[in-house]
Amino acid sequence: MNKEKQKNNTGTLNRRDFLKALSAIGGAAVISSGCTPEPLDKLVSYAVPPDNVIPGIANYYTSVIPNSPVGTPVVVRVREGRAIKVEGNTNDPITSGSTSAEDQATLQTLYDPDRIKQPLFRNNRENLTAITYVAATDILVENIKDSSKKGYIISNNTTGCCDDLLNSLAEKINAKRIKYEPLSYENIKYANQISYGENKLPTYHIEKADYLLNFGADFLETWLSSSEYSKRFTEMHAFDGKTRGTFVHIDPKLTLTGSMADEWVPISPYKNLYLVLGIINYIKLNKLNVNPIPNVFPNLYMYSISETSRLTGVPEETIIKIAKDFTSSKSSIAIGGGYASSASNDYKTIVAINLLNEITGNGDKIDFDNTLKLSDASKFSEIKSFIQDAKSGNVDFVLVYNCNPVYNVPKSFGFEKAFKKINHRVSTSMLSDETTELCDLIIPDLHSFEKWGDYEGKTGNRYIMQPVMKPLYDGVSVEQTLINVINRIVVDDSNKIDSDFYNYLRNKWMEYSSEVENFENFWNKIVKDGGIFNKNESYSIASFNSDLSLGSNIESETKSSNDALSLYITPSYKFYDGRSSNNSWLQELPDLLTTAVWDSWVEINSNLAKKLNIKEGDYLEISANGRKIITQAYLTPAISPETLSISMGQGHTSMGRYAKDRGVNPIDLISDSIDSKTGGLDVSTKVKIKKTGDWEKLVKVQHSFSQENRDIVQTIPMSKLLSKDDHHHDHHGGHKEYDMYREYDYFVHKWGMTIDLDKCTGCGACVVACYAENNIPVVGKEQVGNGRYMSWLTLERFQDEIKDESTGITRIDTRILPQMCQHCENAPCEPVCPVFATYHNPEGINLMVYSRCVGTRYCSNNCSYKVRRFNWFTYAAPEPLNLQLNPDVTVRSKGVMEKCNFCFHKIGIAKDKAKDEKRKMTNDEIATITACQTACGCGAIEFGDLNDPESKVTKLSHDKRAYSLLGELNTRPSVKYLKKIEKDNAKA
Amino acid sequence: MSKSNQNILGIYTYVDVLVDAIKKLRAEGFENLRVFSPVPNHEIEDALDTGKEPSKIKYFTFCGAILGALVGVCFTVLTSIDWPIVTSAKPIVSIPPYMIIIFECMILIGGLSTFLGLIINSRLRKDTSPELYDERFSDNKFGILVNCNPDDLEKIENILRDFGTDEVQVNGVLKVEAKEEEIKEEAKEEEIKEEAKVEEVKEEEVKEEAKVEEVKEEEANPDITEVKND
Amino acid sequence: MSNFDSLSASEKYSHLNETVMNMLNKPGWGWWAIFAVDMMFLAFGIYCFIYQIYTGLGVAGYSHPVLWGVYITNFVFWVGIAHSGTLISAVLFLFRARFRMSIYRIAEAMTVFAVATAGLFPIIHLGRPWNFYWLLPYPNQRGLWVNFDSPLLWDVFAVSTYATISSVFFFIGMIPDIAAIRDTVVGKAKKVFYSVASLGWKGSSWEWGHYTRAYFYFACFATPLVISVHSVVSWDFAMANTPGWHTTIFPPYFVAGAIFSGLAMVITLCIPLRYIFKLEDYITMDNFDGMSKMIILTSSIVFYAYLIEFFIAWYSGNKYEYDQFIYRAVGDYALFYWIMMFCNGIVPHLLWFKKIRQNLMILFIITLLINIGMWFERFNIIVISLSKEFEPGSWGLYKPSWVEIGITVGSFAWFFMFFLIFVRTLPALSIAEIKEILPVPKKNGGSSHE
Repeated sequence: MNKEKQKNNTGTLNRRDFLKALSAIGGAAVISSGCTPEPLDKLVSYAVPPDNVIPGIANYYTSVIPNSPVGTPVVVRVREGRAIKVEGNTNDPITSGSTSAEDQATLQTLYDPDRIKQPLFRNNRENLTAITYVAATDILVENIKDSSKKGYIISNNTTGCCDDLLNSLAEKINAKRIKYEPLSYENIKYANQISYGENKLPTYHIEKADYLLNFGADFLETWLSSSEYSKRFTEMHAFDGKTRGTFVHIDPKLTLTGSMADEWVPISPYKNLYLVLGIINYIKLNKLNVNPIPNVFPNLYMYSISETSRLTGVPEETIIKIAKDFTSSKSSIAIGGGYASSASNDYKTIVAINLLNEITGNGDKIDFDNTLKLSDASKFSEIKSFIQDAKSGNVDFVLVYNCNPVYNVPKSFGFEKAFKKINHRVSTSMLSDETTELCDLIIPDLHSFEKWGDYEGKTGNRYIMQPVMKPLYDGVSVEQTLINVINRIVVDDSNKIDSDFYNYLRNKWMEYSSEVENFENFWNKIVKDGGIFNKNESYSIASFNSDLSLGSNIESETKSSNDALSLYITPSYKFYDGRSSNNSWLQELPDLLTTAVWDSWVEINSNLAKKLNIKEGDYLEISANGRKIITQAYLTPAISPETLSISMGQGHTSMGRYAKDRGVNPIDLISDSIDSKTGGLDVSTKVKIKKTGDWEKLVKVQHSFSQENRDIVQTIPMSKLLSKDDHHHDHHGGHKEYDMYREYDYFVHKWGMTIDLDKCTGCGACVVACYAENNIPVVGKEQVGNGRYMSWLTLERFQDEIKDESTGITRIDTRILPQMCQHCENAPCEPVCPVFATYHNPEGINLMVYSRCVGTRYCSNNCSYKVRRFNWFTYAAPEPLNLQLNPDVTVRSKGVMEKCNFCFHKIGIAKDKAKDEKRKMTNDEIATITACQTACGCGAIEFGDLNDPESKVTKLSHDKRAYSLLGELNTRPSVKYLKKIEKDNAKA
Repeated sequence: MSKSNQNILGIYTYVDVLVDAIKKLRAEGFENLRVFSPVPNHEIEDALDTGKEPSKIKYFTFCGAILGALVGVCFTVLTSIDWPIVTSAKPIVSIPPYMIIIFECMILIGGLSTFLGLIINSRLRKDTSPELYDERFSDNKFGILVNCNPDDLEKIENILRDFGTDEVQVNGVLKVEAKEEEIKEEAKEEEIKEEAKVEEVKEEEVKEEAKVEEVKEEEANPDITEVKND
Repeated sequence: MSNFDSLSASEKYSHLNETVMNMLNKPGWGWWAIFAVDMMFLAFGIYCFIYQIYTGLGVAGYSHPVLWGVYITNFVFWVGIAHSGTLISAVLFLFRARFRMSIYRIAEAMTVFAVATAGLFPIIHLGRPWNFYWLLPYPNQRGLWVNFDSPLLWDVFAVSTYATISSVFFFIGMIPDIAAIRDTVVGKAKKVFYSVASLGWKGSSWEWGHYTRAYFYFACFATPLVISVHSVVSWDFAMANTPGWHTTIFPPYFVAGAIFSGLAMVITLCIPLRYIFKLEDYITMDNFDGMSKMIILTSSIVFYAYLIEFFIAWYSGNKYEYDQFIYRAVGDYALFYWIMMFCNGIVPHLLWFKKIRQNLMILFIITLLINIGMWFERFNIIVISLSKEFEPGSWGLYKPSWVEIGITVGSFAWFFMFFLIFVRTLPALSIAEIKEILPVPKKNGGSSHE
């Protein structure tokens, strides 16, 4: 936290804010009236509130976050006209109510203090000045009127009405459209084109497999549709009482996805193809295949086990084991191809993977009927041709919507230079990012929570985007702007479209309605539900093109020279491609595997680092293709020694206070080569590293990653789990427990939680949800460095290198521990507080009374789990981020201790509701009380009443796998963990 | 005043003669004695036989301690019952930790009541009027103050003088008597002179030191002499 | 010295009074200079505290999970210093140790001022120091009471009781001496001040009778109090489940450590005082010798505790405990640990040699080292234990900030401010009690003791 922020401490909602909030309430009232830019003359609190608003009671509206390429349908909690929390929409079969960290943090984008508040215009290359919306549209119309000149519309992968309108405008002005997505998986699409004749991103039904072989796809982070695949993966990998799928991850780096694997196989970077071919060859030689093997790779014979091992660095026995397991499993699937493994020719890897699935009879899990709309994204080659066009000065006009090519097109392409040559550059971005900064006319779009719209992430799943609150700044959605512009340039009245976007949208949705005459009912229903959902995932199996032959043109890769390392750029599960970087929650969300925050770092193999005399925190200069970036080193054994890895998303030179001048953008180093076949970017780059001699402490949340043999995150071998021996409660060891005092009687409820360590993927959604729900302050890089990270819920990760005594192979054992207040029955924190600021309520919750706390911090010293957080300063977020604050939760001021309280306020709300309706709380109702539980996509967290023998949490807490963290201390936590399952040789 | 009791004060330098004088006075039946000394002395105590009437302070101490403990008990138990908050699933009234509070209250109130007992019992500030006290008693002189019938005045004075008193004061007024008195005074003058000499030597020493330091220190010296001559 | 020995018993009495009066003279430039420097440091400390209140406790160096640091170290350090005063005046009084007479006033003054200093830190370290009174049990309209189960509340009671009782004890001991000053002091204001303060003390036999009884009872009370207060302070740690804190050895170990550090501090203060005010006739080498021997004893106890902690950590089979002690010896804070071991365990054993005990310069250095070592002992216990607890994922390191250092320096200035005022206004030597060990003036049979 910088000094300025400390000075501007207001801490609590002051009168002005309150009035502003009340004025915003009006927004909720006019939700259905569309978005008309009527200026607000008066700030008057209402004596009679609108019908649908009861002060103090939250309203819930469905909407959609179109941020990630598949979109997340959500339910937004609105209090007094302010969106305060995002929850997943359980109607959606794809996400089934889960949200990612990025989705949870979208509120920070909504209330981003750096949002552009009004249209801006730059006349004669001067500074941008504010103009009216009408003037802005005039200028825009003026710019595009002459359709003889060449124009471009570059947007992200838009769908639905927005896409239609953009297409319509492009058509009218004869502009070329590019749907630019930095992560558009050209190689997968191309490979599917040649192997199945489908140029699409299919759905891989991994939930149907019990053996998942993954070649570098980070499907729990960014690959295709991470929230969907987290769910599918959980279904496949979670223990169902009898069995559990196996997941083998092949990747040069142990990513978040890889850390969930039963086995991580490190491989030299960009060598996946050889491994797949080696496996196929082994299957062929041993006749393990089910279907005949088409001669797709004529020189398959070259890939003997030993040759494959030499090329890939994977031990021979591992290759054989994978091949055997893959074929012997009941149902297997191989997937692959993320951004990080998109080298030139990597489409062949996907073809080989497709082939592997095909010959083992597993091609039935690839579904081309339910495909991602991301398939429509343009190839990168189109961006390249745009650049060439612009460079030659042929382009007169460009409109940029929702993408930031100046930032994430590799610098080697010279996008910025070409872009500057265009006469008229228009942006509709909400934030002044790198591309917008170069534009002359900016007509800021509204956030998806402020406007109408629709979104189709996957074929058949159409979500309605509903405004949940009045726009923060009087603005107009980009869709409405497009309509306004189109209607002005269309001469013929009959070609004009509905001048109100809301009507346009409704008309469009009439197409989807089965009952046209009763459209109003249909409309109301879908707005309530959030859209039309395709719950039936039936599909026909695509047939593999057995005539396909890739010829013998597989280059025999030369060994990399010693001084060059492969750069492995991983998309960020927080910022995606960098579009969510100006978001303080995400910036402060620790990277799961390094726990670093607010910056970039380069991951380097610890043995290699030792050889090069590099310490953690050393600034390294990484250079390639004549460019260099300087960032801090992070040493880890969990990366292949030939690889350096940097995450995407940082290194913005603009965009806002949280993103600007923070970290580095590894994309800058990529060369300008494009795969001629797929049209995709070749991201494989060889880099050189040099120590700069500077050192600074790498700011991380966690400092010690070893469990120190303390058995914090416990595991249970599969065999033990399946054995009939019913003697669980290991740590209680069968002896009777004696206590000085009699047990406390929780006569009504006893709230408890279980966390399944086997299910948790460490995605961080729960952490951000907790920030949103509980007004947890963001403290900034410096204070995190000082150990003042405030999150109530932390994902601790432990990474121990375990040497197998028999084989001598060291494997990296990654374990993730979501940790919050354990609500101990014998809470060590409670009796030491001199002023009763923390105590036990009759429902088993260890409560914290902020107003009573004097700040002795003894409770934290005595907390065995170290889950308490102290307010070292009064942390205040800059306006208008304060509008996001949850009015049900106190905003803490300096000198006060705080911690998780099981979302106590929501228990109260649920109780009140049940009482009003003269009933008991239902289990479903209870189960969705806590923010972390609700956000968790993989169902790792369960919350409920331990007094109720029927509740899921009670059953789970008596599970064989259940254990208490540090149980030997006899703190008797109300949070029980379910041990992570360790795969051993036991068969079910 | 003349009919009321008189106070006669004998000032001594030496303890042994003082003790003898006390014994004699008590033998003569003068029990209303008060002895001043700069230091507590067992011989004087024995001579006065103070042991037969022990100090009442112990009652103060005892009652204070009991009261303190009770206050501690009430404090902890009653406030816990008044605001029953469960911490760590422990009983509302948990005695072991309260023992510490009770103990501390016991010491605190016990100690303060002892102090109170001291003030009350020794009748500090209330007792002897200033004229019956000599400032040298806090330095190196001892004194016997006898409260007596005016008729006994002479007799007591004689006893005091017989036992080698330095001087005798009646109701705060120095009483000089004939030859003995002269001799005494001469001796006293000599003593004073000797003292002065010692002081001069001392002063010089101080001055020399002061020179090494600074002039300011010298200014402080007259104060010393003033004090000494007083 | 020889000069003093040649004086008659009665003259020695007078000499003592003069010596004490000399100390109360108008202070010279030297004193003012020291006082001014002291005030500067104090002002800086106060500035730091105000800055901390205004900005938040974050200006201190705390880092999760080390939420106690220098402030609590200072608290325990000063409470420890405060112990030897009452020990010397009460415990040694009960044991009739003659060497206490001439130093006990200085020790008691040190006690009172050290408690006054220690008492600041629990408030300074609070997150919301303006609410410190919430720790006091008083009837309030909110109907709230305090938690008597909390060791911090025991602290409140123990330290405030200790402060009260030691102040009263300090005062009672001074009554006859203040009366002596009252009888000689010049100047009306001073006269009034000392008259009031002496409570009209006359030195009559029954005053002495009650006085000695009261003094005896006080000593009886103060003795267990001394033991209890530092035990309570140790329970701040021992009652927690933190590895490195949660041991039964803490109360005796802390009490011994407190006496150890207090004695060292008394010597540290007495040596310059004796030199400046020429108190060689009263504070004799025998005093230092006796105290040095007690330092050897307490150092041995403390050193034994250091070693036995290691043994228990190993013998108990408690992994957390074991790791904690290994960490102390070889971890991030090992330097501080070995400073402590050297200063508290090794250095004091030089005092076995009489030559060293008799050399005041060396003794002064040794006691200074002990003070440093004892400060680090508390720092080590608090900071090292907290930085590595049960859960490796939460481990972290702590580094004091300039604000904490400023306040610490300010606390020393605060302590010395009181001490500097004390030596100039109140009798630093106990006139009445030293007279007890001086020969009694007797006409016949020369002088004898008592």
